Amino acid sequence: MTPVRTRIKELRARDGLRQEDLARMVGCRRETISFVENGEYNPSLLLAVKIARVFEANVEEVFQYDEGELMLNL
Amino acid sequence: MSGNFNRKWIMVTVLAVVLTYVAIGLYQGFSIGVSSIVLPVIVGNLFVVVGMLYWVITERRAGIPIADERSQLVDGKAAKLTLVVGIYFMMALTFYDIAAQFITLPTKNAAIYLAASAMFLLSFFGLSRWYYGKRRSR
Repeated sequence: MTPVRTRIKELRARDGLRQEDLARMVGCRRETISFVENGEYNPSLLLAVKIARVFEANVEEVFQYDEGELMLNL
Repeated sequence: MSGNFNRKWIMVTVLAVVLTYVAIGLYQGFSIGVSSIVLPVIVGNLFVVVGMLYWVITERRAGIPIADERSQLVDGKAAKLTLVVGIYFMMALTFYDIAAQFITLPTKNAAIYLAASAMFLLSFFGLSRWYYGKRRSR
């Protein structure tokens, strides 16, 4: 799977949230947040939407891929 | 069946297997050489089981979920590897038993083989779970 860049760390710092707080809010383990934050685990769509909702942002604002990766085969 | 119910019974089963193994081992009487290998494994497994119980209780009290999508993925990988390696382990035991019919080898009764398999699977699953838990999983 393609690695994903995330802005979770930056958004957490903005909102003063710890990894543990975010994990509790979205209902997952702290380690999972850590792995997602470091781009070492691609979360499910549900978890990605939940994380984005915590920061009142769109999924694409939190999880970012290179434009090349998002090219469609039309 | 709920996840909590399953986890509780898995823990109870694991504990029962370990205690049974200890009881059988003490009854059979190991040699010093075998004991030096087997007893640390038994004690290690006991510590892991007690540690797991303590961890589950503290995490649950803190309101943190015990399992989530990533831990389930990791559990699945570890279980798959344990299944494959476990089958090889049991095949090795079977071949040993067959060989013991033709050449003189020390043998124990079937309960020991079963208990050894259970202990091996438990240890291997724990190790592989730890290994996959540390690795990046995409």
